[in-house]
Parts: sequence; C-alpha cells; structure tokens
Amino acid sequence: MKIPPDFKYIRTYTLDEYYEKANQTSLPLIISGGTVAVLMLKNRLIRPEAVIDISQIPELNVLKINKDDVFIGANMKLYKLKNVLPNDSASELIVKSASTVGDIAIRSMGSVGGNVCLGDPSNDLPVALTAIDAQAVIGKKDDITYLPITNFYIKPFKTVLNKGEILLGVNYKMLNGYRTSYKKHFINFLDHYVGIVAVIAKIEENVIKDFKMAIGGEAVGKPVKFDLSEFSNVDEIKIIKERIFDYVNTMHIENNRFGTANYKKKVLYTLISRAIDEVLKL
Amino acid sequence: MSERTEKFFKGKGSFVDDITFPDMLYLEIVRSRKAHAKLLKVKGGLTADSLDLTLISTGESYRKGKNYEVEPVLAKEKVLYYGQPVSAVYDKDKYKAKDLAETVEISYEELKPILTIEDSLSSKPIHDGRKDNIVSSFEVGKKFSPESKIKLSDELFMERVLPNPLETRGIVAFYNSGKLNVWISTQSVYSIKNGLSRILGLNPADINVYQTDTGGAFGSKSAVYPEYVIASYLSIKTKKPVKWIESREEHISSTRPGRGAKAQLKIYGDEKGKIDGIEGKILVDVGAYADDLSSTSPSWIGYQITGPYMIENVFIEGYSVYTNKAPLGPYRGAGRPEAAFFMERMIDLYADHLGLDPVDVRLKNLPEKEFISPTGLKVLPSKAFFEDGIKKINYAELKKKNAGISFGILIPAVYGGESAKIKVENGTVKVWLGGNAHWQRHELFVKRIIKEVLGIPEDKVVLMNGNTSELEKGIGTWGSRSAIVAGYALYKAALALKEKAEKIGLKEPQQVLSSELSSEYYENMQLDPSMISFLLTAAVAEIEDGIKPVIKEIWAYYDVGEPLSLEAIYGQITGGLLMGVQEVLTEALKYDENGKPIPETLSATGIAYSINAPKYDVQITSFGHSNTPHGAKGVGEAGTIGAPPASARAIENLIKKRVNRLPLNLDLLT
Amino acid sequence: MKIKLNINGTDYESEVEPRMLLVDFIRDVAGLKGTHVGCETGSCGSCMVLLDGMPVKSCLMLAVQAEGKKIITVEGLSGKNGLNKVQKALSERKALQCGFCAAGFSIMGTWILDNEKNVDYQKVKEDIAGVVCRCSGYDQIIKTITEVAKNE
Repeated sequence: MKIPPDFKYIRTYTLDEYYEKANQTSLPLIISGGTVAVLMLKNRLIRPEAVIDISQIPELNVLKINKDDVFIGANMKLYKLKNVLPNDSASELIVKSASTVGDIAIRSMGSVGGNVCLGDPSNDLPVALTAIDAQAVIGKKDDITYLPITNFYIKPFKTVLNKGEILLGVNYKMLNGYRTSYKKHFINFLDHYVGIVAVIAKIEENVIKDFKMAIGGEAVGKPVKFDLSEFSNVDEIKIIKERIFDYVNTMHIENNRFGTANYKKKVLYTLISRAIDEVLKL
Repeated sequence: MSERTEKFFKGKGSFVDDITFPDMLYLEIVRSRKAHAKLLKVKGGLTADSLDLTLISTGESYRKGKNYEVEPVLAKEKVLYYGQPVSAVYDKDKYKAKDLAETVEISYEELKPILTIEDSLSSKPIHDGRKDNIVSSFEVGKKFSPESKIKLSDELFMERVLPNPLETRGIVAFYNSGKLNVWISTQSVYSIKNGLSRILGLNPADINVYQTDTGGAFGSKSAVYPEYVIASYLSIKTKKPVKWIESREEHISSTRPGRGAKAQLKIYGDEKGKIDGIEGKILVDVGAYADDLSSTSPSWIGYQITGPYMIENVFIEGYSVYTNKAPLGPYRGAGRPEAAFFMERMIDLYADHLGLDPVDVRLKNLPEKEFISPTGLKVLPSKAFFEDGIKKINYAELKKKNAGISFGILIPAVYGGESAKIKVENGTVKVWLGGNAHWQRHELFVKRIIKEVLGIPEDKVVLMNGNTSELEKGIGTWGSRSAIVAGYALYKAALALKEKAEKIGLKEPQQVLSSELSSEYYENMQLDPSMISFLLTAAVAEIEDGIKPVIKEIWAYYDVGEPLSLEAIYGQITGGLLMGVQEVLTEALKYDENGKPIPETLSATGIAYSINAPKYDVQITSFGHSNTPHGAKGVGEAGTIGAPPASARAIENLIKKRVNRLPLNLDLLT
Repeated sequence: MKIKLNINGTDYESEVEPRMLLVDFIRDVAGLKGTHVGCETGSCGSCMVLLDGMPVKSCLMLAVQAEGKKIITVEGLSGKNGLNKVQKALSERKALQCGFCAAGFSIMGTWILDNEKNVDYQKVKEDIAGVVCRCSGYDQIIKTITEVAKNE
C-alpha cells in the first residue's frame, strides 16, 4: 500500500505561527488542499519532519476585489473560483483554466496555492497567470514581496520559495473588454499535458489593441510569455502565428517518454493556432 | 432476494480488504527495483533462503518435464524483472508493515535487461542452462508454395496491456485447526486450491478457498501468484490470519499483463480479392518466467488466425520468448484479439492494394459451408450473418464517415467443462458455479435457467460466490466460457434436481422451494463449432481539436446464440468495446530503458474514463445456437476482439497512414 | 494524536497517527467498508466521499484534515427509506457489474442531482470523469444518472 512515512502534524492558525513553526522545523511540508502533498507523502518522495497545515490561516483564505486588481488567497479552492471571481476578462481566463484541473473532486480539494507552487509543467494556473502578468505574493516573517509570476518558477518542480516562506496568494490586474482562450492537449498515457496555451487579447474593430499569450505544458517546461502588443492589425494574425511558431521552432524540445519533439511541436502549433483563432473569432 | 449490487450501495459488500480477523498480520512484499540483476545481498524479512519450497508453476496442469522456467516464490540469486518478489515482511499494523518493508536491504549487480522481442532473439539467455531465450516454438498449418499474383507483407505489433481491474489482487489466508482457509479475489477458487495444495504439499481436503466479492479481473486473477503462496505459508508458520492487498503500483509492475505479441505476416491472393494463403511468424513476449498458457500462446493465436474465413493455405511459425519483464498472463481475449488484429490488418492491406472495398473482400472469403482451416479450426459458414450485419449497421452510411470494419470470431474456452451445484434451503435456491462470476453478472443467466427448468421465480435465487467447500470440483471463469459451460452444468443440475423432486412427489415450484433438496453436476466439454460466435464491429474516428484522435462511434453486431440476459450481455459488450478502443489509442504498459514500467498511477496506464467512451450501437442476434441445452454462446471478450482492428482501421482511414502498431504512434499525426 | 471525525452524522473519536489517511480512518476506525481503495493516487474515485457537500477523494486526504467537517460516505446516502434515488436507479438498471465502483458513482451521482442544473447525457459524462468503471464502458451508468437527474 502507499502509506505516508511518519511525521509530526502542526496546524497553524496565524501567519506568525506558520513562520515560527516552519523555521523551527528542519524539513517542513506545507499542506493546504493536500492533493499533491498527500500524494508526495504516499509516494515517500519527501519525508518531512513536520507537515504544516495552513488551511486555517485567515490571510490565505481571503479574496480581495479592489478597484483595479484582485488578490486570491492561496487556500482558495479551485472549484470556488467560478463563483467568486469578478466578471472581467483576466478573471475569466483564470476560471477557464481552473475549471479544467483534474475532475470535480480534485477541484473541490485542490487549492490555488497548490496549483501554483508545485511547478509541474502540467499545472494549469501558472500558464493562465503568466498570460495576464499576475504576481506571486510571497510572505516571510515581516516582509511581503510581489514577484512577477514568470520569475516565480526556476525550472520544472522548482520555485523560488525558500523554507520559512509562503505563497500568500496571487495578485493580478483586472482587464476589461478582452477575449480569452484556454487550450490544452491531454494524453491519457502518462496523464500529462503536452501543451497548454492561454491567450487574452483586446480587439476593437478588427484592430488588435493588446495581445498576451502564455504557453506551458510538458513540451515547454516553465511557462513562456509572449507579448505582442506591437501588432496593430488583425491581418497581421498570420505574422503573429508565424512569430510564435518560429519561437517554438527554436525551443529545445526533447524526445522522451512523452513523445517526440516533432509531435510536441505539432501539438503546440495546433493549440496556439486554435487559441488565437478563437480569440479573433475566426 | 434482490439485485446483487444493492448491497454495494449500502456499503455491505465483502471484498477481500473488507475482511478482518483479530490478530491479523499484514503482509508487504519487497520487490526488485532492477529488471535484470544478480542478487548480492538480501537482508531482512523472509527470503528465498528462509522458505522451504520447491519451484512453483501456475495454473492447473503442472507436469514434470516442462520446457520452461517457472516463477519462484521469492527470487533467489537473480532477479529477472522489475517488481519481482524478493522478500516478505509483516506486522499487526498495516502502516508499520510498510515501514518495515523499507528496512529490507537489497544489493544488486546489474545486468543488461532484455526488453524487446528483437533483443530477446539476439541476446544471451536470461536463464542459465538454456541455449537462448526461446521458450517454445510451434508450427501451425502446413508449408505451402504460393503462386499467387499478389503477395503483401507487413509487421504488426500489440504492446503489453495490464488488466487493471478496479479492485487489485488480494488474499487473506488463515491456517488453523489443520485447515488452510483462504479468502481471495479470484476467477477460480479451484485454480487457487489446486495450486496451493501442490505448492505447499497440503492435502486438497485440508484447503478451503472462498471467493470474496471480486471487483473485476479480466484475466489477472486466475494464476497462483507468489504472494498467495507467501501469505498462506506465513499463516501456516505463524498460525495467524495473514492479509495481503496489492497496491496499484504493484499491479502495474507485478501482475501479469497480456498481449505483447508481434506478427510478421505475408498474405497471398489473386487480383479479384480471393485470399490464397497466409504465412509468417508470430512472436509472443512471455516475460521472465512462463507457464502453460503463455508458452503456448503463439500456437493458440496461430490456430485461430484464419478467423471466420476460408483460407486454404496457412503456415505460421510461433515463438514465445523470454524478456526481463513481468510474466505474461491472459488479458481479456488472451490471444483472440491478437489473431483478429493480425488477420484483419492484413486483409485491409490486401483490399487497399487492389482498390477493393474491404467489406467486399471479407465477404468474398467467407466459407459457404463448414470449413476446417489448415490450423485445425473448424468454423461454420457465416456469410449470412455478416451480410445481414452489414445492412443492420448501415454500412453505406458508415462508409461516408470513413468507418473501419472488422470481422471476427470468439472461440470460447470450453475445455475442462464446468460444474454447478444447487441447494434449496429456507425458501431460497442457492447456486454455486465452478466458474464464479467476478463482474459478469452470471446471476442473471443463473436466475433465468432456474426459472426455465424449475419454474422458481428469479427473486428466490441467489448465486453464491465461489467456494471449494460447497462445490468440490470446478474450473473457473475466463475465455468467455461461462454462459456455455457453467450454464450447461447448471442446466443439467437443475434437471437433476427436478427429477429428484418429482421422485418424491414434489411437482410444483412452490413445493420444490420449501424442500431441502440439492444437486450437483460436473461435465467435461469439448469445443463444438456451434459454440463459436461471429462478430461484426465498426468504428468511426475523428481528430478532435486538430490533434487528438478519438473513436467517436463504435458499432457492434454480435452473435450471442440464445441471449440469456440482455443487461449482462449489453454491459459486457460495451465494456469490452471500450477496452478494445482504448488499447488502440493510449492504453499500454511500456517500459523505460532500465526495464521499469513507465506508468506510475492507474490513469497513467492510459485506461478509459467516461469522457473517452464512444457512442455505442450494440445489436445482438442469435446466429445459430450452441450445442447445449440453453443455446447460448460466449460474449465476454467479444468487444476486445472486434474493436481494435476496427478502430485501427478507422484511424488509418482518417490520417491516411498505415496503423500496424498498438498503441497508436503519435508521430503518425504529424 | 486524538482526532474526532463526523461521519454520516456520528462522531468517531480515536487516537491515530498524523499520517493516517482519511480513507483508512473511514474503513478501519469507523468500520465503514463501503468506501474503497482502488488506486491510491486519486485516479479512480473508488474512495469518493462527500466533505461538507463536495465530493472528495478520501485516499488523498489525511484524516486530520477532515476535522470539523461533515463527512458522508456511501453508507450515509441511503436513509430510512433505503437507497437514495441515484443508488436505487443504478441498482435497478443493473448499471454496475462488479460493484466495486458503487461508492464512487453513488457519491458523484448524488452530488450531480443536488448541484447541477440542466443535466443531459454529455454533462453527466463530463461530471463523472473522476470515477473509473473498468467493467461496463460507462454507458448505462451515464444514462441512468441522466434519467434520474432529468426526472428531478
């Protein structure tokens, strides 16, 4: 059977309590929803001295909708997002992304924090958050940092978080009047996403006012951002696609158990093309 | 008595992990983390050296003078597959047993793992004392010198697939008062009893095997695995109940997968679509150890390669070969899907070459009367069935959707016959079948037969789980056999009971129901061509989202003989169809370069979820009846035989590239 | 550590290790065997229970995480009147074969009935995507849940 190794369990009720306990523990593992943490424990991939439960910390359970931006606390359950986020386009992209995570049960257990902090290329939120230039809000004792989400990831399964630090949540600016598209390609075998594409664009009378795209997935690794706001005409759609395809062509994509580089590139081209088409209503 | 699954909705099932005894010990198996290595040191737990056992074989018919190596209970000196049992530990606490397993130290001297059929043929033998890795070789049919105008070759391959029933394997063994009582999730209490008796040197009369509620098997729960022996052995040593429940990870590395077969075939025919002959090689990867079933697999596939067709010339050389992987076992179909896939893909190649409609070519090659293939397979004429089927599935419309079609046969595994017992007590009719159900809803045909022969209403009839202390002799459930053989035995047992009742003046069903009568019947049976079912399958494929191949629709027109239960039949057909479809698309057991299975979770093996299910259109018909009192034919494996070639062809039509390897090579989509 | 869990309306208190999984608490401490372990990685839904009304996979939770919440297992779905609507329909229609997935589909089916609007075949097909049935090909299960939901 898969059974976790022995560990101490500490439930923290305030941020200060968390900082104190995390710094006291030689190898702490944070648990919020637990879908990933518990799985890692069962696989004995990590043998923490203590599992620190942060699900009761109020600062992580908040949702702040301000005039221009939104802060989602790390403990927010994925399934809740569609009911609580505002109606702007950036939020819409986040909801599209979150509603495809796993299945209903996984979404009712999993948290935003878990989906952001694991660093698995197959995670959904990082790609959507990258497209909307979100920020990771990192807390440590007596300090809060806002870090662009693209800088939050170092490489697959590695983020900048150090011991004693915590993802408080994510922050992003609301966007109005944009169109969104979220596409991904899932393979049953090895249950992974070859590619994930998130697009958010502002089109007014056939003119591209703004265009942001992020790609992720196993073929890509940590999410990559494209900012093509210098294009001003929808006719240049072909050029946008070509630009991105060129980039994909230069990416170092490996032949591995998930597929050949050829196949992965074809998947990325297809996803990118369809996402762009959807946003431009082609 | 109500519907059997009702108790599961109340949480009142009795699966093997639900069984607890006071003082029960939890067994954990420590397994090899190398696919091929010398064992330098094993420290901790029960090891091969501490066991006092001879080598085991699995299955019923172990004989001396076998030409293959049998899997040992625990590895000694060498490990030959990743996941092979090396040591065993136990504890009263399930969690502590797991911790204990981690303390066992194993050190290896790694050897090069042999992981493909090609490597196996060109490498040193993995078993000392053998000259190569060929376990067995066969010739099926007769050599011929074809003078046909058309000669086409191809190489076909079906990757290994895991049975992956939702409930993994498990056993509780309790030796007390001189008797070994075993509760087990199984397809055959008799296989288990006979195997344990032989391996542990126990008198069969001192072993009772009880089938627990079984959560599926699909072939994985018929063999006598090392873990069952170890659990029983430990119970004998400790006099305590011992429980072993397989983890999914263990199922992936150490339960017997199926398929793993390659064919290099040549088809001969004229320019009008008449096939003259088929010849070639069939190679099966049996893994690190073999048994009767796996070592004869190539000849079993070769035997039925001609399917429903009349092909006058057949010559197949079959080879089973060792590799450093888990031993091969039966997986739903067990040779039948392989034969169908190989033949059907060659026929499509031939039809394409001539520019003829693949259905026309198939129809053209069906026999007009009973045909005995050069392999010895006897089939009845089936043209009327397939012509009818083509109309019933509206082939004309399906053609516009580029559907793939397959023709197939289902040969039920009737060998050995079967037994049945009926016991009337307390106003209930209890039935035991030698072939115990483990997902197939046998109770539905049981109720029907009892009603038909004895007139007793269905709600008074209960099919009991397999139990060797109630029904002494029997075979088991696999190979789509039960409706035929178990049904036959039950029918005869019911007739015998009726006769007994009439002899003592009990004529009315109500009178029989208030009696305490019982009867038992065992019959050995031979395969009769009337028992073979015909299968017509069609699949429609689509590329979703520009990149993802899916099977959108699957059509089945299947001959089931006399349908004993429509719900049971429908469920078995759709279940089999989905498995067949998925093994074309994504379901496979692949290994990395070190011989470690790649999937780490159930979903990673590529199985189908609800969103992968195609639209099913299932029609059943009685194209003749089997030569049994009830006239039914087998159905369990029908879907896994018909769906793979139809699905492969549907995708081939869509992407305009040859699909001769399963699962689908994704690069074909680029 | 001592924990108290509320399962099907009853409180179960026990001294357990922090690493005890929720599914093991339900099965071994509370003795409710209807919830099953199928895959151990949250891939099959055999261990599904309702936690404060939402479906969760109990093999992916520590028992202690469920403190202070209402847990409903498959046993808790049926009441004085026997099986609930979804269970009764699945049972009568013989939609299940081996029965090992009964908890998973009962819980998901019940949740769909209580939470989803405008249910059709496709919606049910998507909603139950977290529960595996290896035997049946899913068709009868989807049809049954759809019918029950439509008749609500």
